[in-house]
Amino acid sequence: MGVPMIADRLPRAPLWTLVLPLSLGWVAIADAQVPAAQTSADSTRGYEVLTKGLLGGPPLSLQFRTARVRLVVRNLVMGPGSADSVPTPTRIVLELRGGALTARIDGKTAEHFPGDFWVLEKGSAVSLQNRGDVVVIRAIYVLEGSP
Amino acid sequence: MRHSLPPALMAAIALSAGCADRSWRAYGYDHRHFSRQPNEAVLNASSAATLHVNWDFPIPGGGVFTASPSAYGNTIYIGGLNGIFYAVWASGPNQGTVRWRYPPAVAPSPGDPCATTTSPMLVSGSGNPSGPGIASSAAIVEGVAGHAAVAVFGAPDPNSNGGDGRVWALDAATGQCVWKSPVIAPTSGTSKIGYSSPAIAHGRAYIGVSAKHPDSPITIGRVFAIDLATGALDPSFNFSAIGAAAGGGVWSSPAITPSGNVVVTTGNSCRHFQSGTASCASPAPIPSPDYTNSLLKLDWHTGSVLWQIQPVHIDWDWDPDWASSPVVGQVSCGSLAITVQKDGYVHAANIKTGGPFSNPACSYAGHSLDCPRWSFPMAPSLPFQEDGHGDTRFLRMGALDGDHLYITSGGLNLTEIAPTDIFGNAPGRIVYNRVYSLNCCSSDIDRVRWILDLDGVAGAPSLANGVIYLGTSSGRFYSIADTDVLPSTSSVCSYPNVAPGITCFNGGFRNVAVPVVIKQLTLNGSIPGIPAISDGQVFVATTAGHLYGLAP
Repeated sequence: MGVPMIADRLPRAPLWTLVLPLSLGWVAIADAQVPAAQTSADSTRGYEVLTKGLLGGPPLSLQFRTARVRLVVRNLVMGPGSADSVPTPTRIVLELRGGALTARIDGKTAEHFPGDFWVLEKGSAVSLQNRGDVVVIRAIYVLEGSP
Repeated sequence: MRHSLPPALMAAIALSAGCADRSWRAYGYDHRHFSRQPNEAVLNASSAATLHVNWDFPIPGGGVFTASPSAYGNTIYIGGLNGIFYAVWASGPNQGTVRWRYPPAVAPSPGDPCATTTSPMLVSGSGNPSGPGIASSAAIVEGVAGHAAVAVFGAPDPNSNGGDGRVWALDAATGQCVWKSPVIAPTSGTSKIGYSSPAIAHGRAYIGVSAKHPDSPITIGRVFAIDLATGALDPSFNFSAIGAAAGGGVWSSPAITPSGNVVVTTGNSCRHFQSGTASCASPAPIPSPDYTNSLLKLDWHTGSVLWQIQPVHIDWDWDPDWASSPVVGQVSCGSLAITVQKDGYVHAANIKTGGPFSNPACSYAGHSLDCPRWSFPMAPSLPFQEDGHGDTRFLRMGALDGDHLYITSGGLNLTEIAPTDIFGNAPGRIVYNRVYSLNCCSSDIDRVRWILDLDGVAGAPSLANGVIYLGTSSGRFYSIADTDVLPSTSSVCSYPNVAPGITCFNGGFRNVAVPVVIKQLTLNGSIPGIPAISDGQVFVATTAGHLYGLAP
C-alpha cells in the first residue's frame, strides 16, 4: 500500500538534454518575432528547461510602440530543490507568485515570499533555492534597444 | 499450508458476511464522509470493467439532481431541484421505478403531522446555485420510535411563507412525514438550506445554512442540531460563524469526529464584499469572532469552537469559500479531517481531543488559529497573505481508504496565474480535471501517489475494493483502479502541462503514476455528486435529472 508503481524520478539526464532545450529556450526569448498586439501567451505550448531545476512557461512578448523596448513575460516554475546558473540575458523583473524562495544574487542571499518583487541585472550570477514543493515566479524580461 | 477453522467460527464468519450492512446511508457513506463502501461483495477491479446501465430513472417531466443518492433496504433516496423527494427501487422487478415520492401526488388525509399537501418543496426567489428545491442529500436513520428507518434531509416548506427552510424526516418505507423541524432558514431572512446534508450523531441531525443569494447578500452561517425523535431544535447547541454583520455560510455538510464532535467548513466574509450590501457595511470591519473561510471543530453539546483553521488571512478574502465537506478518517498517523478549499488547496487537520487549541505559527491579530497537519500544495507559511485565493471552484469532497485520499485539487500550478486576482486575470492554467491520490501520512515530498487527468470537471469520488468511481461535468463516468490493485502503465508530470520524462525531472518535479481506467460510460448530464455503492450496484445522479443504477 502507498507505493507508486512508477519510479518517482528518472535517472540523471545526459548533459546534452540540458543544454539543448536551454539553448532553444533562450533563442526563443531573444529572437521571437511576435506581433506587437499580442496580448496572451500561447497556452498550448509546453514548458522548457531554462536551467536544471527551473522551467519556463510559454512567453508573451510586447513591443513598445514609442520606445525601443520589448518586454517578454513568462512564468518560471521550480519543483523541490535548487536551480543554479539561472540565465540573465536581460534585466529581469521578478515577482514571487507562490511558494517560498531563497535567491542568491552575485553572492548576496535574500528570502522571498509571495508578492515580493525584485530585479536581476543582465549578466548577474543567480541561483535559486525552493524551500517548499513548488515555486512560481512571474518574470518580465526587459529587452532594451529591441527590435 | 491449508488452514482450517472450526465449523462454528466459519458459520459465524459466513453469517457475519451475509449480514454485512451494504447500505450507503448518507452523503459520503455516513457521518464521517469517507465515501468508501466497506462491505461491497460484488464490485471489484474485475467486475467493474463490465459496468453498464442496469436501469435509468429520469425525473418525470424533467428536472435536475445536484444531491447525491443514499441507499438503504433495496431503495435509493434522493431529492431533486424540482422539489420532489424520491424513493426508487434499487433492484428486483420494479428496479428504477418510484417506490414513493414526497410530497405525494395525492394529498394525504387530514392529520398528517407535517400538514403535507401536493405542492413541491420549492422556495420562491432563491438565487442560490443549489436551486429552488432539494439539494440536501438524505441521511437514513434507524431507531426513531415507531419507524424502522427514516430519511432525513433539508428542504423548503411549500406551506410556510413560500418555502421556509426546515429539516424533514420521512418514513423510509412509506414516505409519510414523521416530523418537520422548526424553521432554520426563514424566507424573510438571507439564508437557505443549500447543499448541506445532515450528519447523524447523538440522536441529532447536524446541518448548516448558507446564503439564499450567494454573496448578494451573504448570510450568517449557522449549524443547527435537531432532535431525531421529535424534530425539535436542540437549544443547547449554538454555532454562528461570525459575531457581526454576515459571513461564514455553511454550504457543506458537517462531519462527526471519532470522539463525537462536529467538523464543518464555512464560506466567505464581508471583507470580500466591501462595496456594501444589505448585510455588509462598507468598508467591512474585521469581525470578532471570525469563523469565516474556516475548517472548524465544534463541541457537539454546545457548538463552541474547539479549533479553527483559517488558511487565508481575512484581508485576502477574495472568496475562497470553503464549500467542500470535510472527510474524517482514522489513518496511521492519527485522526484527520481533510478537505479542499475553493482556492484548490487541500488541508488536513489533526483531530484532537479536548481543546480549545490554537498555534501562534498560524494565528494573526484577533485570530487564534490552529495549523493544519499538512497542506497540498505545501504552504510555506499560513495564513496566506497574497492574492490568488478566490472563487476557483474546487468544490468536491474527497474519498478516503486507509491512508489514501482521492480528491480533485488545484495541484502545483495553483499560483501560476491567480484566477480571481484584483487585476481580473482569467482562470488561465488552473485545471479542474486532475484527480489526485494523496498519501495522508507521508512527508510532503511523497504526498502524491498518482494523478489522473479526466475529460471534464471532476465530481466527487467514491470507492470500494480499490476501485474509484466518479463522474465529470461532461457526463463521463469513470471506474479507476487504484495502483495498489492494478499496476500503472504510464506516468504524468506532477506539474500540469509539463511533459513527463526528462523535462519534468529537470524542472525538479516528479514523474507520477497514472492509474488504469477500467471502464468509462457516457451518461446523460453532468455528475457533480457522489456515486453511492451498494450491494453490487453504483448509483449515480446527474444534472439532467437521471438516476442510474450501474451493475456488472
